[in-house]
Amino acid sequence: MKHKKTMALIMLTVLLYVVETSSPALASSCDVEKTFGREDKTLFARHCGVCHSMSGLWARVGPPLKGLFEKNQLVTGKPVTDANVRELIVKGGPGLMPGFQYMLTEAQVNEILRDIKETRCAESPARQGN
Amino acid sequence: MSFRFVAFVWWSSTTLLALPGFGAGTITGSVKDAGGTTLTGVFVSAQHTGATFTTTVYSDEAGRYRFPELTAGTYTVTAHAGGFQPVRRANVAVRDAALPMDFTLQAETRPEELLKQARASEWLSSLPGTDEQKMSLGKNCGSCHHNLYHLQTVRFTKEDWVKVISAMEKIDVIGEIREPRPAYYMPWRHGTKDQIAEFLAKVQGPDSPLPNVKFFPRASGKATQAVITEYRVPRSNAVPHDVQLDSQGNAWYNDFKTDYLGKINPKTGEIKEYRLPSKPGFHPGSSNMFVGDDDTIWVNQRIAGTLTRFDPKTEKVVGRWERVGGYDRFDSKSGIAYGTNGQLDVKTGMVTRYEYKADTDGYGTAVDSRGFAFRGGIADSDIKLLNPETGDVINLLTPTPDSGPRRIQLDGDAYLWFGEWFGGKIGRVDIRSRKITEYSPSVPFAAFYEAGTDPKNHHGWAFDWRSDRLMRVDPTTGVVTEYPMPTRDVESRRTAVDTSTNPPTVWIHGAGNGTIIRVQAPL
Repeated sequence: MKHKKTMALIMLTVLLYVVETSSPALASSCDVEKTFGREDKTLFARHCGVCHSMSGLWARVGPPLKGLFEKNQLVTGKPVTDANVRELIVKGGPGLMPGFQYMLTEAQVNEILRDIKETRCAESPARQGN
Repeated sequence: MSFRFVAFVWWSSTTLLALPGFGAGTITGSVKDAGGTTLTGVFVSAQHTGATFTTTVYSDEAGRYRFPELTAGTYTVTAHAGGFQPVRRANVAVRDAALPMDFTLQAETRPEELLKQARASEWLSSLPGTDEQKMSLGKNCGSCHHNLYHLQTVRFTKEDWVKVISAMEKIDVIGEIREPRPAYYMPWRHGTKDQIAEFLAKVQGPDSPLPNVKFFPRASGKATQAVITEYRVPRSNAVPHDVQLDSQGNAWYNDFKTDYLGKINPKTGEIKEYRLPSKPGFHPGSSNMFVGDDDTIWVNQRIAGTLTRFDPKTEKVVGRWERVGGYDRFDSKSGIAYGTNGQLDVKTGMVTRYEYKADTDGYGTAVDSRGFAFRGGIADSDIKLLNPETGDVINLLTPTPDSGPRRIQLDGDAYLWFGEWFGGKIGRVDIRSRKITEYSPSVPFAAFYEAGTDPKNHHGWAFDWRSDRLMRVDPTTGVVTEYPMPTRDVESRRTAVDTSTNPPTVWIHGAGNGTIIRVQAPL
C-alpha cells in the first residue's frame, strides 16, 4: 500500500514537471492581452498595444491585428507583404498611425512583424460593454 | 526528539528573533561626495535577503545616517541620490551591534543615467522652453502618463506627435476607449494640441538632445529623521490603487488593473493577497476602496460597476452589488453604507438616492459622521458641500483658479483636506467658516491627486506625483515638510494615517512602481 502511494506521488511529480516544462516560455501578445497587457513584455505590447489589440476582444483606437497577413490589403491600399507592413510601422500611415522610425531598430521592427504574423488567437466571446 | 519540542524551538527562534531588541542590530555611518563634503538627504536603503520590504533612511544635516533596529541577517545596502552614482554593498551581515558603514558617492555625469534618476518635475524643469510649454505636458499628457516617463522614451516628428495626441484623446488611463473625455481633461491647458505637438517635437523629436538634468534640493532638516519602508507587492503586474488601514494597523490595498486585494501586516512584513470576483467580459480592476467601522473592506470595481464587501476574519466576500454607486463609509450598527449620492442598506440591497438642488459633479468623495457629503470639484475648481436632507449644494471656490481639487479626506467633521491636481497645491477647508487655505510645495509642476489627514495632530498629508515627494502640512505654522521617496514613479492616490503609533505612521501606495510605502516621520 505504502509502495503504491509512493509510486503515485512520483508519477504525479513527473506529470506536473512535464506539464510545467511544456508551457511556452513567453506567452504571445494574444494570450496576455486578456490580462490587460500588464504581463506582456513584448515589443508589440509596448509600442503597438495602446492602439491595437491582437485579438479584437478589447476595443482600441486602431483595428485588431490578428490575421492581418490573411487580408488582401493594408489601410494604405497596398498588398499585405512584409515590406509594406514594415513601411507602415516605420513611416506611419493614414489616420492616426505614427511612424516609429526614430525609436525602433530594424531588428525591433522585425520582431513586431514576426509577432503579428505568428500570433494566433482563439475565438473569444464578444465583449459585454465597457 | 518529539515533534512538539521541534515546533517549540522553531517558534521560539522565529518569534524571538523577529522582536525588536532581540537578534537585532543596526547600520550607521556617513555619506560624502568625492571631494569629502558631507551630503544631506541621501537615501540609504537596506534590504534583508528574502524580505518583502526595503527600509530607507536619509543622511542628516551632518551627513550621518542610522537605521532603526534591523533584524539580524544578511542585507544589501545602497546609498543613492539624484546626480550621483549609487553605491551598493551586498552580503552585509548585521548582528547584535551597530555596524559602521561609510559611503563616498561619485558624481554621475552620463546624461542617459541622469535621465533615469530624474523625477518628472526635475525632467520638466530641465527641458528647454517656457513654463507654459512645460505645464502643457504636465497638465495634459500628465493626466494619464502620470510621471511623464513614457514621454521620455519615445520620439516622433511634429506631424506624428499630432497623430499620437489625437489617439490619446480617445483613450483613458487604463487603456480603455473613453469618448467623450471627462470634462475635467478639457479644454487643453497651457497650449493647443498643435502647440503641444510642436513642443514635444522639440524636446522628444528625432534629433532632440537629452536634457542637462538639474536635481531639486534633497530632504533636509527634520525630514531626514523619517524612516521609509517600501513593501514590494509580490506580482509583476501590481498596480495598487488605494491603501487603507484597519483597526489592527494592517494596510489593505486593491489593484487598478487586476482583481487582487492585498493585506500587509507591518508587524511581520507578511503580505497576503486575495482574488475578488470578476465579471466576465469586464475590466477586473478596482478604484475606490474603504474600510468599514467593522473592518470589512469595501472595493469598487469601477468599470464592471460592482461593489464588493470582503470580510478579513473569514477571508471571504460577504456582499456584492451591481450598479449601486460609490460609497465612502459603512456603519455596522445601522447596516448602512453612506455615499455622497445615496445610501445602501446591506441587508436588503436597497439604494436610497439623494436629490440635490444643484450640480454635484466632482471627483473625490467623502461623508462625515453626520451624513453630510463633500466632493472635490475637479472641473469647477471648488469643494462642494452637500446636504442630503435639504438638497442644498454649497460651492466653495479655491483661491487658485483652475486648481482641480481631486480626492478629499475629512479631519473629523471640522476640516477637509484636498489635493489640487492642476493647481499644484494642498488645500484645507474649515467647514464651519467655509474658509479655504492653500499650501504650496517648494518644487514646481506639482500635482496632488489627494490629501490625507492626521486627525490626532490635525496635519494634512499629500503626495506630489511629479516630484515623488510626500508632504506634511502643519496648518498652525503653514510649514510644509517634504519627504522625497527613494524609488521613483510612485503615483499614490491615497494617504492613510495611523494615529495609534507615535509618531503617526503614514501609508501611501506605488501604483507606478508596485509598492506599498510606510513613512514614519517624527513630528
